[in-house]
Amino acid sequence: MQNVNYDVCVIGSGAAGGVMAKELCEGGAKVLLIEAGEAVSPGEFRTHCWPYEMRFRGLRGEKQEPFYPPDMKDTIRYETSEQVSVDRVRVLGGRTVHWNAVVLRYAPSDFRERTLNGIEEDWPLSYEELAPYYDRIEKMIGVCGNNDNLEVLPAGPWYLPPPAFRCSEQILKKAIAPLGIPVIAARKALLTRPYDNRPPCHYCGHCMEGCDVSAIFSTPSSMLPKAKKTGNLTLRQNAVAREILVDTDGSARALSIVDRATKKEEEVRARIFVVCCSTVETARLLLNSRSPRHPAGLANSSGVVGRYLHGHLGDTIHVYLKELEGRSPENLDGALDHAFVPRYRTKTPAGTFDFQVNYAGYMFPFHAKFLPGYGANFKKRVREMEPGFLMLGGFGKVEARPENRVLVDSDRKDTYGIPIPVLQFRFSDLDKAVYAEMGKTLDAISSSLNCEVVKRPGERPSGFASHEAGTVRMGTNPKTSALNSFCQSHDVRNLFVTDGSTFTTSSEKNPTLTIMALSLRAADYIKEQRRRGEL
Amino acid sequence: MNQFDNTKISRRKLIQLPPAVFLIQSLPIVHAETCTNNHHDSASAANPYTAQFFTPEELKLLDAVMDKIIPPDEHSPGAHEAQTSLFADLIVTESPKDVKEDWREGLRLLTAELQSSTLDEWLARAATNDRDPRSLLDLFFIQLKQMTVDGYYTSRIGIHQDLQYVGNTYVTQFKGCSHAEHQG
Repeated sequence: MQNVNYDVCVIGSGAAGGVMAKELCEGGAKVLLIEAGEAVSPGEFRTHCWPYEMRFRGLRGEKQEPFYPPDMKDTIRYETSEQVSVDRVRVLGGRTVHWNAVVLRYAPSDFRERTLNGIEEDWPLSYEELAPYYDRIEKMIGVCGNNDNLEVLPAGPWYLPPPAFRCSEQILKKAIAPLGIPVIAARKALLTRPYDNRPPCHYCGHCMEGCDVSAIFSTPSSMLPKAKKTGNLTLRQNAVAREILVDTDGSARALSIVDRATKKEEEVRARIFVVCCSTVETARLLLNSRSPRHPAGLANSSGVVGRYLHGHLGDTIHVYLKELEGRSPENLDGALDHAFVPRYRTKTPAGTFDFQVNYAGYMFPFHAKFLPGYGANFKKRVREMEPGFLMLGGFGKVEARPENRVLVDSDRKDTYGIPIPVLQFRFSDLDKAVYAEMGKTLDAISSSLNCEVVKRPGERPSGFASHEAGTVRMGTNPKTSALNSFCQSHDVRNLFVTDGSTFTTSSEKNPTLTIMALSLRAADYIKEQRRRGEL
Repeated sequence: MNQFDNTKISRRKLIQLPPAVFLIQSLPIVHAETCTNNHHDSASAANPYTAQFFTPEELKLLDAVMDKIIPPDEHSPGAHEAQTSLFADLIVTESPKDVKEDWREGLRLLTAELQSSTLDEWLARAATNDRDPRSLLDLFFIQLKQMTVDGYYTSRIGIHQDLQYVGNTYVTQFKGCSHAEHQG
């Protein structure tokens, strides 16, 4: 291989790419980190903007606008009648720049769906193999929460103290305990004490708009400074990955990128490539990387790349607690969700859901949208009910099925001439059963509270809650999977994928912690393989 | 300025605040200095928004009906003072053609209705059918109410004076619920 400039090219700077770049840089590798977006500094965040300071009062996504540049609009096609969408963020740090930061370990059973429930596939690795990496990543990013000694939600040895519960959460906890439904502290990548040269949370309730002090973990605030400190990191922003090019032996040779400003195309070379572009964009890149050696796309001799697309299904319920009505206004913002309802029905696949609590924010009175009437009484009622706000958002498992997939449309290209992704998806009977059970549980919860329900779950599930997964899945069999348990391509030894696309299956839990743990494990593997001279 | 100090505010920021904000004694003063990106075409005292879509007659009617939906009371001003009709004008101006047509048609139907009913009579009828709209005018009421809610509760008046929302600020500690009766 001639003119190789970098040891490793990491494509994408989100949760997976950030930890990968940091670890490899600290391990002595010369790393080129490619990011299609660009940095938005905390000073540019609109975290604390008031609605009336924004043109459309924030109702048209102005707060998050810096993370979604215009060139991402209309760059995906949905061929589905389901209510699903995928997050099309394009910014340095990816989704870690604005997220709610709920970080949950998968349970041992979550890796063994085929063995335990006869559905989907088992992962090619176990919880026990991943646990040390969960430990390390939790310490690296700073996680608040508790060890609740729950089999369904394993815990590590160390957590920062969680934020205190609001009254609505205390009431919820007491009310649903008789139903056998636990309410525990949320586990979040949120600092409640100064840690790792970052300040603690200031409880403004705007986690999803970007944390302007970096109390919430993000790649730019936590991983990239460490990677840069080594002198081994080269960061290339505004570079859109077109395709990965291969040598005559089929190994990955270079990445073709398009500069967003000039639209000029160039090749960057490296010995190893790690794709971390997120579930849809990673599949798109691999499927667009066709060559005589890889006619179906790179890492796709099995034909599974793009298939097994899944994510979370969900819905919300909004209630207003009678005993809190009419109280004097107080600052309830906090760090959004402080409480969490873990999966409690562990014996049936239809019970694979959990609930996050109060992540919707307190500034806007949601009930005003649903209350009947008008006039002075309506206005007074809105005001009286506001302190009693309580919402729960359900996150449910979606089956990984081959017919749900991402394709590329060679006839339709984005502004850089790159074929766009096309998404085909249908919820399965099991998905619908999970959704139905989730709705029943939400009804049971609201029935146990002295409250007014203003929003119930709908009739149909929606997806994917920004938790897409599964399009480049891991597995032991190269004929039915694209990656081995170290996220290395079965077909192309110097190609790795470490984002959510690697998931063999998903549980009800948010995927980010598992993505980072897998990426950390893959980074260790790459370091060891390099040390041995095998990569 | 120390970002964790919620008692201080820069003079530069101070002079940018509209006078009304200072009348709200319960509002922590750090509030209005926190938007570092309020440059994207938001209306301000120096750059007030003027109607782009509705005619003066339509705007007058819209203003009147919105102020009936969220009226002034002893607690706070209503939709008129919060300029909710101008908010509606902006949203409709920046909406697709079919949305524009819906609003124009709705106001036309309402104008016709008001030849034989008072505004109060129509609102009372339409609100009865809130959950089960039976006519285009019933649907228009729902649309109108949603717009009023959006505009009012995202305005300074709605957020600070009516709801007396005290968040969106820096606090060093979140104390949580301290009521004995709520503890587990």
